[in-house]
Amino acid sequence: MTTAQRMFFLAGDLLSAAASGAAAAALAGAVLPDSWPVWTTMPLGMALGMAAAFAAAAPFQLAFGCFEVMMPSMLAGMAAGMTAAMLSGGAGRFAALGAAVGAAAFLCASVMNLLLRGEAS
Amino acid sequence: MDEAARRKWNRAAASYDRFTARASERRWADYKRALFAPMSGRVLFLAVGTGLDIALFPSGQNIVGIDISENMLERARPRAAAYDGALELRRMNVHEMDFPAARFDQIYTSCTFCSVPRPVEALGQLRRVLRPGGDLRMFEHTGSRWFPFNLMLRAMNPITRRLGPEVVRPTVENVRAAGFEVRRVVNHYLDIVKSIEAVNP
Repeated sequence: MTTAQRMFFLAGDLLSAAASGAAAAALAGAVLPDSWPVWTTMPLGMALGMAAAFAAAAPFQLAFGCFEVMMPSMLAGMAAGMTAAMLSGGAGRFAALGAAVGAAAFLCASVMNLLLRGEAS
Repeated sequence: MDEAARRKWNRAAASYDRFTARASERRWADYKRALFAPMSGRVLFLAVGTGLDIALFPSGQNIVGIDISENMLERARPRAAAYDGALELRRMNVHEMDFPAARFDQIYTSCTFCSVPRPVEALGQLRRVLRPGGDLRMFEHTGSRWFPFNLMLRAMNPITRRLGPEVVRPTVENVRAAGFEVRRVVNHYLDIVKSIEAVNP
């Protein structure tokens, strides 16, 4: 794989994670009432976020691959949904927050990949 | 259950290259090419699908490729015809292979054991048709040992298994359970996408 192809795929992974995080946070923020206790909204936000990320990341798989897209995006959805469930605000704020969480999730998955890839036994 | 698998992959054949495999194949081509490079002797390629992997085979080999789905094989035929070597395609279920014992020197798989209905039993069939000392070389995706990736794969699995593959299979453990000696496992993405090199003892 050339450096240009590698950069193309990494950009796609990042874009997918950011979009998934934005969608997850927007959905969790819109659906979960502020009045509910945090111990209820956090797990619900995680579940909603993963479901939203699964749907949001699906189109990115066509261009950028499967697991390399889905793992950071699902992580982004889980974290962004949980974060949005603890906060209050409008859709725009949640989407921006979710995109930032998505970028952070992409970095976390990339670090985990550096640690895990290579010979295992 | 095997008939259900055949129908599932027949349905998937038309859109497989476009929607499922093309981008992943581009990402994984270098890893697969390296895994396939030592091909020699009488080679069985299990679940050849639409033949996307054929372009990565070293030239001049003597290969039998099988698949459970006739629609997949139909799409693989032009790619097989373009291969610079001997490549015979046959529709066959891994659970009911009619090859004699110890027929092959090497067996290759590529994203196969996420979908085979009874994986340990199928691996036992591979042992039967692989000569003692023969190589099993696999490019597979498996479940993950690590949180949160294992949680996410488990969440995705009920959906992905309806469309095609399962994403939580413990394939390395299944290879050992079938009696193969695992020599090397190399992770390509997290501990999910990997090459497995094993020997029939």
